[in-house]
Amino acid sequence: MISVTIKTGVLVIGGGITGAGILWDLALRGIDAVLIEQKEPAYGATGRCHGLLHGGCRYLVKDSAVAAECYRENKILQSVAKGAIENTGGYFVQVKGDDPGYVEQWLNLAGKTGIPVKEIDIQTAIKEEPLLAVQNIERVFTVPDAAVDPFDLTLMNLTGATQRGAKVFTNTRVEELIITGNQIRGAVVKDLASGESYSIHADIVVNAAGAWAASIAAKAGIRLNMKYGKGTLVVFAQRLTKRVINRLRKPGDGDIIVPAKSVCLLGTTDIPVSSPDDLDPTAAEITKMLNIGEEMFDHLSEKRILRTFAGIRPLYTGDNNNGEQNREISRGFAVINHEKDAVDGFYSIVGGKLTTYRLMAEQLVDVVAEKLGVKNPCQTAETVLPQPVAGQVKLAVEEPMLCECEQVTVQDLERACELPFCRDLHTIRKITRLGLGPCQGTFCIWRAVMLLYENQRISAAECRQLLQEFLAERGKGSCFTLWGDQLKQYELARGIYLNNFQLGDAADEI
Amino acid sequence: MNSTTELDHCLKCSICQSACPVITSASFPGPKLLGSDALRLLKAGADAGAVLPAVEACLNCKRCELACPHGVRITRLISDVKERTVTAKKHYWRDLLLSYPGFLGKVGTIVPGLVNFFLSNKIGRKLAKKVMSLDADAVSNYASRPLSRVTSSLQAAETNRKVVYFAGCYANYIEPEIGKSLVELLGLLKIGVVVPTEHCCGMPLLANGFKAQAKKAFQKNLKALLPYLQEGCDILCTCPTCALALKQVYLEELGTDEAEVLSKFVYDASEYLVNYSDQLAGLIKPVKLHMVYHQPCHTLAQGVGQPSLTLLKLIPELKLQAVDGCCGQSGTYGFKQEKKKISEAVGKALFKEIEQCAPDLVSTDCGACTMRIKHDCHLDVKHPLSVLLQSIKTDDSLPD
Ligand SMILES: Cc1cc2nc3c(=O)[nH]c(=O)nc-3n(C[C@H](O)[C@H](O)[C@H](O)COP(=O)(O)OP(=O)(O)OC[C@H]3O[C@@H](n4cnc5c(N)ncnc54)[C@H](O)[C@@H]3O)c2cc1C
Ligand code: SF4
Ligand code: SF4
Repeated sequence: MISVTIKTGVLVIGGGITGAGILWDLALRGIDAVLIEQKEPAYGATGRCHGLLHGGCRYLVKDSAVAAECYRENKILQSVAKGAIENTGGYFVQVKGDDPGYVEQWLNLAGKTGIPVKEIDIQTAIKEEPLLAVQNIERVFTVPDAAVDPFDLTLMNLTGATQRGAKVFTNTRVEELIITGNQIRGAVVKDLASGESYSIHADIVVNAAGAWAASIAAKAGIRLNMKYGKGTLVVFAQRLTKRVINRLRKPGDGDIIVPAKSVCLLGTTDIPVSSPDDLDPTAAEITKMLNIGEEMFDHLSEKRILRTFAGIRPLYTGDNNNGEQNREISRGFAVINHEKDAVDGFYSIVGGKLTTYRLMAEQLVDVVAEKLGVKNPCQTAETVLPQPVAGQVKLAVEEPMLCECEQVTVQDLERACELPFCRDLHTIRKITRLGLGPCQGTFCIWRAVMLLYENQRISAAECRQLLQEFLAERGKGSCFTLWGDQLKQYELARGIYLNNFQLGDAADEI
Repeated sequence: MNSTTELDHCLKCSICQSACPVITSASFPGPKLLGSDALRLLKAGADAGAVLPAVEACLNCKRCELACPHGVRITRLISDVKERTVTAKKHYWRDLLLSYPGFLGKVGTIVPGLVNFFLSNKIGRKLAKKVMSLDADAVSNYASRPLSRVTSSLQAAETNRKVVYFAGCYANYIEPEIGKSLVELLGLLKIGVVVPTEHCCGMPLLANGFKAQAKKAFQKNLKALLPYLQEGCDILCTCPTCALALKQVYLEELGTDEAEVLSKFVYDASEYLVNYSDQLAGLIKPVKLHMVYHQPCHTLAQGVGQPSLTLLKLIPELKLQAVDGCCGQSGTYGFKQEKKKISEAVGKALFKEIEQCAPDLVSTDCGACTMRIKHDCHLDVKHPLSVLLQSIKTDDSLPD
């Protein structure tokens, strides 16, 4: 039953970085907008990406225009999105056996593109990054890479937009598009918590559903040619490097480590899959990556691994679908005006990278603004985004603590709960980093759940459900890397949750 | 195992927290947070200032480490955290100075009259309090002749084997009687003793966060001891902290083959003498006294049981009671003005227990415990080996 109707100028579908960036851009230009996200913010590729704010060097040889674009955007984001970025700098490392011809070509293009690349001596590099396998290293270059927290970046865009009047509905799925004649009118959405459906009327609908963009377009009877590449990442329990470290060769699997606050991520793979929901890493991928990682980093596979996860790279293949290998498809993005498909006011934005989300949003909103007759220019390159409310690396020894590994205080949790789009434990965890440290929620998730209950944010039945969901999810994330210390940690968690909290019936889920 | 691997090893169970004497006495985040948690977050760029006062409050007693069911070398991690925060110390220069007891000892024993006079005099104590933030009421008296000058005259002529005595600052500069007792006891057992030129074991530096300097001290001692190791000599310590350093900490921090060899040849002096219990029992005469034995944290941390207690039990008619707990002194920690409160709170339970026993004297292996117990319980405190030797030499002569 369709009960309420909301009216807005632009309806944005998808709460990944692209949708969030669009909402912020729209809000800055004074355009009334609503964003719908089926789960929590950054649920899709955004929250499952590597967190590398590209300086461009990875794409130099393949596509130096994309490389230059990354470098420019990188610099812009470092000034407007400081709260989400750690300017770690990066190394590109040539390992014994890597093609020296590639290195020369790469250096040459760096010079032409104007991306600052500088060779440093191996001893200095090893001193800075003792994890590097000294016996295997040929040459090392510094590059302007940085680390970005994709959750923070998304949340900052959403917070900024809502502060300027935009609305965000999470845990709400777009079910149908409303089209009369050739004109888009909005969408029917369903609140997944209450089960209630309602419609949102809008002059413009933007499909920023990432890997799910094709299924949204299909609701308008439009076919989007997309390919899906699964990329798996391995999360180590601590920060093993100070900066981003790339392998200097033709981009391949397992050749980058990116620090992410208190942890670091090794990735990725690129495996063709048929659906955006095909999200399970495989043991073979992980073994392969660790083996490749060992060529550049000493004893990497002995380091404690917290979990693994996979994300889907949605690659728009345009109109020609010629079955190339996935990594060869352009990383560029496309703004598609579906007027060509006889649906007026409906736009899709596909492809791209986290690093270039701002530019993507700018180009899309330029088109939308023109359509709406709004003259205000894009302001996202100059306007500083609000700071994240929590989740920064800190040591808060004096405050009452929920999550000790990541130093999440009671106050952090309460602040996160106050955000308008924070409706569930997932979002709380993304905002605060609750349970993302070495114990992986062994001691904090139940504390947090009890606090939520005490503050009357959830019911007793929901407590149980949340704990069970958490356990199931945790089992999924760690099942391929359960050995050594992390296996013991996992058993300790099982002991506490299954025995102490008598969640025994969740046992078969984990 | 380097500290990166060590920190991965923690399972966050918090069992160490309940073993920490500071947690139960003051507001203190505890070994888990100051160890693996803090180190991990500092590596990720967390502000070191936030843990500084807390991490300085760690006594380095190692009780947390004994409690950890997963064998995490917690104090190793804490010492890394201390190192990362050392430059932000409020009392940087005072702490650095206090971390060189060898140097202080040399000054103290060269001009003991002067130093002791300075500290026993009201104005001197005030100055110490003001300038150094030191609680001079508790500071020790220096000996009039350092041990090295005493023992050279004491080497037994006719010996079956030779051991090295690593005396440490306390026996060297403050209570040489301990060293003399050991040398005499070994003499009775026909074991020869060499006392090499040594430097402070380096543990005060490590505990105060000066890791680079500590490692230098470790290297120096290792170099000085190496020739004896090559001869196959065992190395004996009367100071539990020195013993722990040589047995364990040098290896943890330096990770060299030499440090590993050293670790295998070091004994707590009592641990070594327990092997000669039968012979010693034949020499010992009854002593009619009531004595409390206090096991120092660093003897506990060596995991050798209570060898001194075993030796003391050889003394017939000695009424012996054992107490447990940290005295809160921890080297020079208890002298520091800003630590005084915590130190006293930690030691309170122990002192009460000792007082309730109402003994004639107390015996403990550690110099820092000795100073603290003397000061707080107003009782005479002797090293177990001194007690043992006196029970051999005369009966009913304790305390003299
Ligand atoms: C493994 C991996 C590593 C990567 N590493 C990097 C990197 O290091 N640096 C970089 O710059 N880029 C990286 N990328 C690329 C980057 O992650 C993506 O380009 C970017 O996150 C895409 O964001 P998005 O918002 O377009 O899509 P998504 O983040 O997928 O967002 C789409 C959202 O739409 C929602 N949605 C779908 N259907 C519906 C519906 N019916 N109703 C409501 N909501 C719906 C989904 O829940 C989802 O949250 C990586 C990608 C992958 C997969
Ligand atoms: S250091 Fe040991 S006792 Fe303390 S939390 Fe870690 S595993 Fe548990
Ligand atoms: S060494 Fe002692 S004082 Fe320091 S944290 Fe461990 S138990 Fe507590």
